[in-house]
Amino acid sequence: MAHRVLIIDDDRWIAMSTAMVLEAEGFAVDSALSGPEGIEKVRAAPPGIVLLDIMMPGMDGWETLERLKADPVCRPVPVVVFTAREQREGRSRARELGAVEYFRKPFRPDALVQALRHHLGDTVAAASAPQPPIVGDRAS
Amino acid sequence: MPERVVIVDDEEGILALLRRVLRAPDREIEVFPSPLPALPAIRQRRPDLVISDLHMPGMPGQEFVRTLRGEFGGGLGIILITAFPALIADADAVADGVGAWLRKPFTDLELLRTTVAEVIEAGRRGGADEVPLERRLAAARAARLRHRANLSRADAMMQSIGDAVLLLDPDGRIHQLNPPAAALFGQKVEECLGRDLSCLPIEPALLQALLDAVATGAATSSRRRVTLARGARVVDVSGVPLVAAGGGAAGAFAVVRDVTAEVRVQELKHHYLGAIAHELRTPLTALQSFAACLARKPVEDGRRDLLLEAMQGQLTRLERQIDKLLLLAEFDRGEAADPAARPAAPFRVAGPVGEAVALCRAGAREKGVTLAAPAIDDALEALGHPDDLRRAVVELAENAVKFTPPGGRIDVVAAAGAGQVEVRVRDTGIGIAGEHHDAIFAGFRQLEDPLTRVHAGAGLGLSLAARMVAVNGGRITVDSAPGSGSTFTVRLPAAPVAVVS
Repeated sequence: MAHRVLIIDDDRWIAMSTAMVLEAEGFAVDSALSGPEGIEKVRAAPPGIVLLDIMMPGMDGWETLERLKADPVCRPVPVVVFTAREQREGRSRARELGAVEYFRKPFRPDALVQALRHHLGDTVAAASAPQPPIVGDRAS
Repeated sequence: MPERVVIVDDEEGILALLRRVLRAPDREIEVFPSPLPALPAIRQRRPDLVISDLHMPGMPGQEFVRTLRGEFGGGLGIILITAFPALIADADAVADGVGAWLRKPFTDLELLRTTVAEVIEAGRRGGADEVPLERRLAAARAARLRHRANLSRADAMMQSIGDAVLLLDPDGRIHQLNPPAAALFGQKVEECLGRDLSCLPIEPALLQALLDAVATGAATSSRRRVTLARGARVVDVSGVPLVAAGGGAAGAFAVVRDVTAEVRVQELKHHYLGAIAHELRTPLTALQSFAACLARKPVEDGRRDLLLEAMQGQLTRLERQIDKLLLLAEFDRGEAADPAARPAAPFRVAGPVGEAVALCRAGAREKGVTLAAPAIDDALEALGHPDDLRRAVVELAENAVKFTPPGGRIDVVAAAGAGQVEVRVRDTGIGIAGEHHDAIFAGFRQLEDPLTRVHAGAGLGLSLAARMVAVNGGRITVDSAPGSGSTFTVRLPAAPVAVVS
């Protein structure tokens, strides 16, 4: 069965393009255009992994992340943060709040795919990849 | 035997200042607000020196001097203080044997101290009533001042400089300071003179920096964040120790430079670079993903067309962001604001507003937001440039779409006001807290940090809209609160009404 990924990003073009990349790699992708919508979707049917934007109007990605990690249903779902807004200490903040990975936009699509597989525990795919993913900077 | 000094002045500030400045081991100082209560004490204790103001209630200073001179002869030193230097040459007063004159305000504490010492010395010799004493002292003072010409120049520099400058005694007391330094401590210059640095109401961090600057044997500089009367400031504190001719310590110069504005500009620059990067990286990210999809072969024809169309859309978006950025930079350099180059003309508001709404329809529909724009009266005319109004309304409407959740509603309406035309963009979005209302239009100028979180997505569009309207002699205001939507109102001058003959 395909791994389910939920993209939370207020920019529908980011959500759409990322979904197309992931779908082509065999993931089942859903998206939410705001933090509250994303949390609702995770709670209703926890996906394998969440891809979370930071700079969103209203509830931003940090708050969304905090709420996901405070919710017993959502907490086990690994969260990968991806942001176009480089912030001082963004990486360490993501780690502190419980994210498993921090990507800067734009990212290399293959690096993202590799990281998602790694965190989804898809060891076969990860092992066969040329460079095993490690937690850290994956900016292209 | 200790020196006794009596000071008579009706100004409490002067009394306090003189008491501080003249404080010395083996010297007793008594102060009185006027001559009448001072006289009995002087008669009883026979001081070495009386320092008196010239203008006081009860008894004029000169009469006071005459009385003292008559009773005590040349054994009592007398110094008069006046704020009116023109009277210093008063021959009567000199004939009365006044030892010296001092001018208010006191700018040279060293002069004050040496004059006091000289007059006391003359009194102890019994010569305090010699007629030429004041002239001799004045000549000596002038010679000393000539020797100290360099110091005087330094003093002038100190007074004219914008940074806070302090000259400290070897024992840490304030010998000289300029108005910015006094302002830094929230005090008047006179209130600080002669006082120990650590007795002033200085924030501990700043005091420590000053003490460090003074204590270290070499010129130092450190940057501190401090809270002053003017609020949170960033200051650079530096100090230069002064070495006396003999090689000992002669005090120190301390300089406090308020670098808050510079630091703020730096932070703003950082913030804007971040905002710009965000707006450029977002379409770039989508482009990169679409390109990656296109690179995976085989690609069906339908999918390829879809991808190419999507990429074209992102390229347009990128181009628009760059245009916006360049235009905003032009506005901030003042280049786009030359009215002579673009004379304003009357135009129908319905045209540009209608075009702007049409441009934003697709975006609103995609997000599930209703964009309503009732027909605008064709007779409604504004003065300015229709292109600018169209762009401003596009920015406002796009912003409204961005901050309004699906299911929400945006209304774009126009109406005539008093000598003005008003175009309103009203949304049912998340709203903006009052404290951010000014900042959202700030552009490259002032902007608060919390905004990064609250309204970062607003990016540069609103700043641009505000500038486009401003160059047409209008302005944009916002009425909003968190949770209850926002209304942005553009006001432009109305076109003059045509006179029908």
